[in-house]
Amino acid sequence: MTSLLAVVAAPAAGAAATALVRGRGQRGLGLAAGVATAVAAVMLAWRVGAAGEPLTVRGTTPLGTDLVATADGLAVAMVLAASAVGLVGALFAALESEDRPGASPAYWPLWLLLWTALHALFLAGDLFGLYLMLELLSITGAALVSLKGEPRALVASARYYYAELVASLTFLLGLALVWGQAGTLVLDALPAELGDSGAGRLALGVLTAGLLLKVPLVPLHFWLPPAHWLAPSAVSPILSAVVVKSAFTVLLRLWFVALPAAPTAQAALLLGVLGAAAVVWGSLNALRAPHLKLLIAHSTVAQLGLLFLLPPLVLAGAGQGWTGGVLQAVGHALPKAALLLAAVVLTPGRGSDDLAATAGAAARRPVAVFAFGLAAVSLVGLPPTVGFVAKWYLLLASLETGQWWWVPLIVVGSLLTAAYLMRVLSRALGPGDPAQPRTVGPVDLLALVLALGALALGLWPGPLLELLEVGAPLPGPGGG
Amino acid sequence: MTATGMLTAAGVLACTAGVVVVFVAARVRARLTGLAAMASGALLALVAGDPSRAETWGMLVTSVATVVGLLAFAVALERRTSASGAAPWTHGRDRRR
Repeated sequence: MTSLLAVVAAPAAGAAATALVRGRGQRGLGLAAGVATAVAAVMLAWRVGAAGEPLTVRGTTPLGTDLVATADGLAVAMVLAASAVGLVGALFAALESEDRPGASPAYWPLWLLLWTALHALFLAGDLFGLYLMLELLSITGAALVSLKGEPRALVASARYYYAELVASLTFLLGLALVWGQAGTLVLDALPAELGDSGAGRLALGVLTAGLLLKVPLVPLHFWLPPAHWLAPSAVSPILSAVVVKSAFTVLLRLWFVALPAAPTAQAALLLGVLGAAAVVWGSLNALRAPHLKLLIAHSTVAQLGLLFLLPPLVLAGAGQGWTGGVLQAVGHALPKAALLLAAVVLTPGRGSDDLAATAGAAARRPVAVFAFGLAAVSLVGLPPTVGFVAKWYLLLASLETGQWWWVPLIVVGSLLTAAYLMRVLSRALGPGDPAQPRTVGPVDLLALVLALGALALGLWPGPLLELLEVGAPLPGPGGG
Repeated sequence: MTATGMLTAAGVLACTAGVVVVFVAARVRARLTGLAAMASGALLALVAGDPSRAETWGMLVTSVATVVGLLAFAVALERRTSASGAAPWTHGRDRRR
């Protein structure tokens, strides 16, 4: 129980502490809180993995509402992903020069509050707790995007925030409908018959609509590319790698834990079709994007689409669909954050992140280009990376359930991913300015660490696969 | 239809109308009004769910506090954005032109 509370308490305490101090002391405290959070996350994973069953804490708030936290495989895997990206992001921010957002006094409290909200959301076992954490994520996310204060970033931040607010309030309405029907908001205590009722389906539909705007899934993705493109470099990785998965995780809990009888095959198929549209639409936009971070932001839209193959596959009874979908959510985090960190040094000192600025980057930043390439291999889904393992299980689940039409989608999605990422690599590996010195900086190494993480998870996926089995709605590849 | 059902339906309608206003309105004040309508509708539905229970009022108090905070941040963000010379909702239209 201690480790479960620690993964939320450590970043929250860090946020409070860094709000009170400035300068190097603030950075030191922020980094210390980040390290403590990551250690607590590893301890929690070890505890849950060793126990082989979810860890649950129940309580009541002073206002009388239930408070439930559940650490199952899904929650712990997402907490680990958030901690890995969060810690690397904190290290990156600590390295930033005085005129960058990482040096802004507001950065550290906001960053650690965002991290707190992520962990609390992944672990929350009741709808009201989920709602509050979604709100905290919205406000900290938008504040971080607007940190640079540039007009374009402020515009992107405002659009992002409006979308998040509409989504949160829609979620609040759905929560109210559940409360009126069930008299409880604890996910594992919702009556089974609620899922079979029209009111239950309406509530699930409203909750799902809010979450789809938050993910976001095509055609509700309008706010994501500008926000992720124009966010500070220290912030984009966690937004693109982890924050976008938060609403997806909530959706999985609602569909397959709280109200498993409510989702219909048609609704699941609709999500799958929208996911397919996201894969194609996001990829096509990435193929046309003139800026490096904008390309990566559109690729996030595409990669999120793949996650939505999970609902139709799991609803058809494929445990491998759960494994593949969740592994895609977790496994996408490391290479996506690696791409965004590498992007910082691939277009240096030109005042913009035009793709043209990456020309010849391999000669001056070989480690960053290698990290970018390795991360690209994982996003494409080639062995031996975690991206391959995730897509392999999605392919197996598609064939197992007879939903063969997802197979060409996954293949085409991989080819399109390779095509738009090659736009960067072909320039980076081409000729550049021979006068530029060859450099290996700390940012290059941070990107490499994340990319190697994606490789390591592909080479040794066993522990993560076993973890994902804990509390899964269906037995995965290891469970028969 | 019972009083509870009618209040819930009113909440759903207010929320739906609010969504439309937020996405259609060009003026900042109208967008904020749309958000307020959404929040009011959701909170009305929450109270209509089971007004006899203390938890309902506990959630209402917490939700009102968070919604006020969120709307205050929206106002602050709008002010900062307009002070920077950019206008959020016309930005997309300008780019499409």
